[in-house]
Parts: sequence; structure tokens; C-alpha cells
Amino acid sequence: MAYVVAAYGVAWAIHMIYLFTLGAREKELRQSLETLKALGRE
Amino acid sequence: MATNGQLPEELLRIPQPPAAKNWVRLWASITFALLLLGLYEALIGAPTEATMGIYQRIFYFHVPAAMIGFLSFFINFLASIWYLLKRSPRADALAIATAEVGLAFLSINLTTGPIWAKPVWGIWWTWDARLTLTLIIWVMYVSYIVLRQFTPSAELQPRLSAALGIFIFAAVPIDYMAIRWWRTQHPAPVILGGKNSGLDPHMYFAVLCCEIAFLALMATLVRFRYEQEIVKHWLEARRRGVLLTQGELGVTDQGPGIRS
Repeated sequence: MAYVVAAYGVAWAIHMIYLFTLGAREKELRQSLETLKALGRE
Repeated sequence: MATNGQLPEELLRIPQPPAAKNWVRLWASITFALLLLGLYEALIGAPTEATMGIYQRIFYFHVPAAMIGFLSFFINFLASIWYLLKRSPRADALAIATAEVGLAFLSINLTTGPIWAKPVWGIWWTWDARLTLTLIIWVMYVSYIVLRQFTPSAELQPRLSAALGIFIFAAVPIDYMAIRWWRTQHPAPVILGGKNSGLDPHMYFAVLCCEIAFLALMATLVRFRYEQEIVKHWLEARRRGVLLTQGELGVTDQGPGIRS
């Protein structure tokens, strides 16, 4: 049972790591957008 | 339409990030429901296999992860050809999105495999054709992503990636056929494996549920990542537009720049 839980846990963890990576990139893009808007207003 | 210095016309038509993300909630909900169904079928719904017992349930995530990973790499291969033919930034965005998502799925396949192998074979790993080729493919797609990060030229980066994407995909069909061509420690195929292969109908249903759930997850992740890459292109082009309108690059340009 421990092996099955470990396998499904690892699959879940890999997806979560990738989702966090996507989230961090999204945040970075939004910050760039704000910076660009500020640049455009200057 | 004005060319706006180096601003590609196609990128000017791309929507801003907030407008592009309206689909996320709906797609994520559908994907989550499918994943729950897949998980239920894999852990509870499908019957326990006679020889391997409960450990065989790892199969329901292990195999679909490989199939969806390989499908992602196939789309990467097509997008790479599309990029080299048309130089489309959309093709480049699709290529990087599918490479990353494919790598995530292949990572699941490569980690769940040894966890399944240990109680069934008594070893975590063996250097047979299937396992070795899968590991090589994983390393090559990691190299593909690292190469993109470390290629400084904006023009060279997608071209190099596209060429590499086409070449490294050649290993994928060989890996797929490895358990058909050669005698390996890895089991013979039970899906599309010929007349001596097959699964219990309920096991088939469980695999199918997980395949569809992973396919939906792949589509969601690829689309999300694709839009991020498009927005990145758009931001870079707009930034160039702002710099050009401000004359910071020493070029006079009457392009639109940032209006909002």
C-alpha cells in the first residue's frame, strides 16, 4: 500500500511543482505588464 | 498597419493577459472532475490484479503519464516544423509549452516506474532498452529547456529549439517500440500490444478514465503555458515599442506604444 501511496503522491507533487512554476511565471508577467504600463504613462 | 519598428503585426492583435485567462476556471473545473474520476477508478473502481496485487494500481497513472508525455512531445515536434517553415511566434510558444508539459508527465512516468518496480521486480531500476531510452529522452528534453534559457539571441533561440525539438523526437518512437522489438525487463505492452495482450474491461475503463483526465490536464497546462509565452512575446514587443517611441534605442518611431 505504501508504494501505491508513494507513486500517487509523487505524481501529485510533480504536478503541484509545475503548477507553482506556472504561477510564479504568471506573477512575473503581470509585474512586467504593470512596469510597462508605468513606462508608457511616463 | 504601421510596422512599429520591430513589432510584428501578429503580436499587436494578441489580447492582453487578463482577457486571455477567462477560460481557466471552466477548464480547470472540468479537468479536476476528470482527475477525481480517474483517481477513483484507479484506486477503487478497477479490480485488483491477480499476480501483482495492489501494486498494479500504479499502472493507471504510470502508463497514461507516458502516453500523454509522448503526445506532448509529438505536438512539440509538429510545432517545431511549423516554426521552421513559417517563423510563427505562436508555433514557438506551442513548442515550449508542450516540451515543458511533456517533461512533467514523463517525470511522473519515470518516478512511478521504479516505485512500481521495487515491490514487483525487487529492484528500483535496470538498464534495459525501455527504461534507458525513456531516461535519455527525459534528459534530452531537460537540455531543450535549458538551451532555451541560455540562448541569449531572441532570434536564434526559437530556431535552435525548433531544430533540436525535431531531432530529439526521433527517440520517442524508438522508445515506444522498444518493448516490441527487444526482450526487456519491462513488461510487454498490454494496450495495442497484439493478439496476446489485453486487459480486463474494467481495467481498460480505468486506464481510459486516467488517459482522458491526463489529456484534459495536458490541454489545460499547455494552453496556460502557451498563453504565457504569447504574452511574454507581446510584452517584449510592446517594451521595444515603448523604448522606440521614447527614442531610447536611438530610433525615431511613431508606433502606438502603450495606450492604457
